[in-house]
Amino acid sequence: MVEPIQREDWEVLGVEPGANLEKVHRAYHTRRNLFATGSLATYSLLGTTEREEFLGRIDEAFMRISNAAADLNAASSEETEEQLRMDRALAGLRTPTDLVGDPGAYLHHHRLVSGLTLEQVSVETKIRPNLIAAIEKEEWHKLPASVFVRGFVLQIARLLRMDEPEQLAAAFVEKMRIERGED
Amino acid sequence: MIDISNDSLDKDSPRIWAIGGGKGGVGKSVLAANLGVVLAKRRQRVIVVDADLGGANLHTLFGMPDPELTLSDYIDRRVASLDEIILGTSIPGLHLVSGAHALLEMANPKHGQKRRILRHLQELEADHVILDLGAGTGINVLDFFLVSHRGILVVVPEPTSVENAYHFINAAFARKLKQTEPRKKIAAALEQITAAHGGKRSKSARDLVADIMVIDPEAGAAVLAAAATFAASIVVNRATSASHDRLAAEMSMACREYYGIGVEALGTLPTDPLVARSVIDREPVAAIHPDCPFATAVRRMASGLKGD
Repeated sequence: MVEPIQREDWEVLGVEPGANLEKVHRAYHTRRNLFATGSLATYSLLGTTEREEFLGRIDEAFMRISNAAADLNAASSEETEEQLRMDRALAGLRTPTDLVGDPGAYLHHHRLVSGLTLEQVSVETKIRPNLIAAIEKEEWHKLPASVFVRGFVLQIARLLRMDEPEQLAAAFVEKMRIERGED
Repeated sequence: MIDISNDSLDKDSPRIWAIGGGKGGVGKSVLAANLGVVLAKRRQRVIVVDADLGGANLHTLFGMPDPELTLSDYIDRRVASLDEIILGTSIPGLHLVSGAHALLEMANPKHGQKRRILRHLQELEADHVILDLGAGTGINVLDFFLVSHRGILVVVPEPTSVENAYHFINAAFARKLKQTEPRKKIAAALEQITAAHGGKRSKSARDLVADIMVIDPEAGAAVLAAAATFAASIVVNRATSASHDRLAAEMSMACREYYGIGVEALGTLPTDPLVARSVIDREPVAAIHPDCPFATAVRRMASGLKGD
């Protein structure tokens, strides 16, 4: 059983209760950077111990929310009322499990979980950020020929240390061909 | 204690903006002068007051090397009111109360003198009064800051300046608490908290409110209200990069989430070679190059000014 989300966890991350996972991730990374030891914007505002405590609170809040999301995704078969309620509250946190049906969303989710921004993925893979975004959003008309796209998806999936890069790349290109009406 | 709080200001009195920031050399006077120019160009009656007694140089920025009447005449009671030492500048609608020639002992006016200045400031015939504060966090600087409708902290993107700004916010908030009713109850509760923390005060306003609520809910509610009415803004000056452009917003977020008081991000002013040039030429840059990046940013900042 994972530790339940506490009321103030949302507040600590500065997001609305039940905010979607993308927002939670963004809020977490913003605060992590803002209160990091070398941050100019919080220089001298907190003492060393206070800074550690404050960062600890941010980490714990994030951990509880993301663990609860992961737990939800483990999709237990007994749907208690409590669980249904949590389910609705955390609808935005659901992991897309359909690699074949939603390969873009699947990739997007794994990037968020890894904590990497579009820019960071772009620096590592040398793929332009708007192309990565187009892949994640499955904006087919913005993407080049499938042979290139297959390589992009592979690179990103490997960077994110996903289990099935080949399978994901194949699924993505297959869906793209169908959607674009290619042979 | 000064009991002229910003709540007691009536609608006809001028809007008072205090420009501080703790650190010297960050551009407080340059901002005061140019904000004055920008507001005057909007046909507002503006008086810029050089409250940096002991380090006054606003007159120089306006090309007035030797002002005939200054705050020292007022403090020494050679003149009866502030009105008599208001000087015209080369910019229509913009006036200056100079702090030149103030003797060192005037940098720390006595309590009665300060009361008189603060009261007279609020009676000035103007739409806006801009107070150019000195560096540091002396009691007089803090009182001028707190009497304003909004205090503007000028920060440059350097750790020393950020540090001084936070120190300033801390000191100003502590000073505000000393002036908040019920003073005795708040002071007693603060003393208890300090003792409970082994001589150290709770560092953030948020922790302070939480502690004080437990000890004395009435004092706690008053401190909470004081935190809510603490009207301060941050302006980042001499920005040269995108990360500098984010600094004001980041400091605002840190103040809200860690410290527990709202400090608004008012804007970012770019590094602009014309600013240094204009100081040498002794004319505010917004008057001679109204479309330069710095003057444009000051105009944008002026449009965002809110003080209630």
